[in-house]
Amino acid sequence: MNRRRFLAGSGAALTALGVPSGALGATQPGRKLIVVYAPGGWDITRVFADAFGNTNVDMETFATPASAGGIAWVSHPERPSVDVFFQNFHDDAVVLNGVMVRSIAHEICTMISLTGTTSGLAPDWPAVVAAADRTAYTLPHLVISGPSFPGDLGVAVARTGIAGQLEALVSGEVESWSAVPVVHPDRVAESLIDRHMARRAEARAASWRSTVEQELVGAFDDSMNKLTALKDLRYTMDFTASPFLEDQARVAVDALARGVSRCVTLSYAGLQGQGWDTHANNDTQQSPLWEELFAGLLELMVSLHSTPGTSAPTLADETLVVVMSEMGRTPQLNGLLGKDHWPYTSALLVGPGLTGDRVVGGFDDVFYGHPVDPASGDVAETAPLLSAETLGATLLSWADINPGPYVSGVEPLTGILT
Amino acid sequence: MVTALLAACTENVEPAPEAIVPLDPIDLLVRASLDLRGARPSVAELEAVEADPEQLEATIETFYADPRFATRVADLFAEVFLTRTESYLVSFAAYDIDEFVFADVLRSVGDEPLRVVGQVAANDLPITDLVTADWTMANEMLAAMWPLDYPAGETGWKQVHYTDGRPAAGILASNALWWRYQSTESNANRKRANTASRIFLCNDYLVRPIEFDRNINLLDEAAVDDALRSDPGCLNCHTSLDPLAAYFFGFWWYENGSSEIAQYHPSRERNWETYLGTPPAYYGTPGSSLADLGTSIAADNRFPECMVQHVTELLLRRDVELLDADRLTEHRDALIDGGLTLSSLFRSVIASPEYRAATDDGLPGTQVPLKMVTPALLGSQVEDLTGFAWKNLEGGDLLQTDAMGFLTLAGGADGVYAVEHATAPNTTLVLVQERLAEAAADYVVKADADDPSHPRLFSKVTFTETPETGAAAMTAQIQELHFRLFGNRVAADGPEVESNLALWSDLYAVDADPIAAWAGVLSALFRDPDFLFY
Repeated sequence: MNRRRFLAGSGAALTALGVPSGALGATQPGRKLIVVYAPGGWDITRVFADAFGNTNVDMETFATPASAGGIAWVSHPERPSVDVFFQNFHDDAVVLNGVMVRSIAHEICTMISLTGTTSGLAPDWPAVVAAADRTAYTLPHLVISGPSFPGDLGVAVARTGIAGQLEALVSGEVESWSAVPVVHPDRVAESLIDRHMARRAEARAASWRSTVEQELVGAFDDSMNKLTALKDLRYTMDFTASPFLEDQARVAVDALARGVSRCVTLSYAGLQGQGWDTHANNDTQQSPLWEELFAGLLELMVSLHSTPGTSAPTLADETLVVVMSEMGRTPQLNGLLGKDHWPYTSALLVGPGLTGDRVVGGFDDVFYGHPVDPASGDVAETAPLLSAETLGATLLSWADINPGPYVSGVEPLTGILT
Repeated sequence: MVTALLAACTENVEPAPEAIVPLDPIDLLVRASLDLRGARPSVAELEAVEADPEQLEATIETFYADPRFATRVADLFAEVFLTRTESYLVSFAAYDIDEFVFADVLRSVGDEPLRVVGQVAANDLPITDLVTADWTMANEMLAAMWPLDYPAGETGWKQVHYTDGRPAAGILASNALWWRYQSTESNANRKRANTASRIFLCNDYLVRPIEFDRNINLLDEAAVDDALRSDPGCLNCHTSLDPLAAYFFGFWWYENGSSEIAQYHPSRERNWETYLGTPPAYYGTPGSSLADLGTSIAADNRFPECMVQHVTELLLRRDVELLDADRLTEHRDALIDGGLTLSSLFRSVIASPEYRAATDDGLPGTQVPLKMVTPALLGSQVEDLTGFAWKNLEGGDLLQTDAMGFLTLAGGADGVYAVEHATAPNTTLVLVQERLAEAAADYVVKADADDPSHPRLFSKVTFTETPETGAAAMTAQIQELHFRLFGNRVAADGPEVESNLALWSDLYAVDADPIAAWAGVLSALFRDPDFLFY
């Protein structure tokens, strides 16, 4: 879809939906989570970080400060979707500025930003949230694209695959993927075998000699039951998504609305999959990425507002959207007009359960993050820094999960939670 | 880790007193066969152990001489090296590799260090070769990209040498490891140093807690350099990490997109002067060449202890714990007494009561090593049973690729995000298992029907029987399938046979096709939970 046309269309849709003005409800049961990831390290001075008065920061030509309600952002003529987004959703949005990821290596920062650790063995925030209620969902955490660290919660995490793998498996189209011609059972035979397998799995789950065996055969039985539910979706749902965020958003909303998933991870790495790692020509590359990201976010929000929820009037009433990247970029341009890696970044949260319409944190003269009092969300020099762990603890608290076992010693930002 | 566990253990931990309940010989034979060969025991092996359980140990011993042992070792160590990834920051356009399947090229790169481990294991070479050898492993795809003395016109994995003058440092001098773990100017090979430390010493700097000092101005390079040499929070790691990083500048590249990254560059070995400012040293002992680093690691007590930790964790599929300390000491002694060969270490772990436990009794926790097959193990056992390899139209292994296959959907580690294989099934895994089972069953049933003189699995039926005309043959066939697949002797009038015959009849009722009915029954057996867990 042409982006300008979409903006016009989304504007009408937003008006029809009566957004904004605090449309999102209070705390709801069955809260859902969508993580939108921008891989490569985004330049937050192009949207989130208003640093026009800071001589250590190279701001962009033609960029201007903008605000709506309590949200301030960086506006630019090339990025109308950013303006439309904040004008319509500022009431429900919290921008976290100055989130520290304590590294400048992509792989490590990606782990830290999503798990709070550097080992890669810990589950990420959406996996933890999904696993907390995994029996209720066929695919508790659906990963359409982007990073996903299942840790020891792999039973709760399912990928769609970037080439339509899940759809091919569910539909049976995978038959044509095999180099050696093979014939899979038709639907009738498949159903007979599935029924046989369900009985077998149930019987096997009742017979075990050790705790580990009990867990394994139990997980198998649970998976077989969910497999039936998953196959039923082949007539009504398509798991295939392109790299376009709008397309991924369609699958995400479908999965949440049908109660298939509690959490979904999406990513936007550009139309060519080039990512956000702009060590050269930062401005010419970052600007369209931001515009396309927010155009996709707009479509996602419109869909959430226009789709009935599973335990609330709309999905928007029960779904938190978190937009993040593994790191920020240096405040100053380098010799190639690019920007290198920076350990302070931002995150955008939009959804219910937040005291929205505010920017939390900020940056000092050298573009380090300000310390923030977790209880109030206000900048306080003696408080801890905002960190990836802070964000994680906050997301887990938002989902009514004790963050202690996952991010010990870090207080959630209760000041932004209702 | 092992040293730390030993020290802690002597202070205040009691060994578990209860007796461990061992698996029965057949189940143990299956577990060992899958772990060491990636295949289930043959009917002859099953029958031999069934007839005389005393044959168990001798039968397992033959697995170490099986050519598949090297492949299994490589598969196991893939979780340690994490080189089997599809995320190499390399421009493959710089190489003349159009004749190859790209997925196979990627897999070959990731396999270089793993094949070295496999070669060391299969040939009973000392583990010190992993960091000191002057050879590597390569196939025709790697030979098309890298400076190797690979024999022209040949194919397959071979032990070869780099020809660009790189030091003899085993895997430390392999292209694949450093293609996977690249560095930047500011990182200055520290990532590589930590990778070597994590893999060969089990000392991962990244798990250390750090505080980020806000008083250090990251915009000021001189201030950052000064902090690395003076700030206590930085020194905690950088005192030992930076001298290790200095060893790796022969792998310093200026253009990741060019073929220069295939070469080792002796002339750049001293680039640490520019990028790091710290000369090479191994925990205080100065060195100069990557070969010095390899020699130092080989002489470090932590190296064999780390290999013990890796092999124990890979075979038990759990982290080692404080209560494992005594057993880890036994394994370390076995490794040393066995001439530092991996097979001696594998033997020790596989002979341990923990590996052979059937129940929780006697174990210090819920640690029964009942494991779920990895995607590679699922594929290899199916291929061994049926001859069917699940490949895509380009020839790529559908269970080993994420870009065009089902690696992570089947619970596999992608080396970047999922760094360990899943240990329990989920919905997508059982769906992948189902589709593989259907394809393999269709393949082998038709093959056996077409060539009944050389049946792989169906020797008791001619695919013309029905329960009315050939119930005895069909029953015998089902019994044979259970024995071949699971090592179980099921009774002719038992529930397994009854259930399988009922399924056969249901399927036959659909279109009166006995081949399709048998394929359906076999696919159900391949989808059985006991085909996943071992």
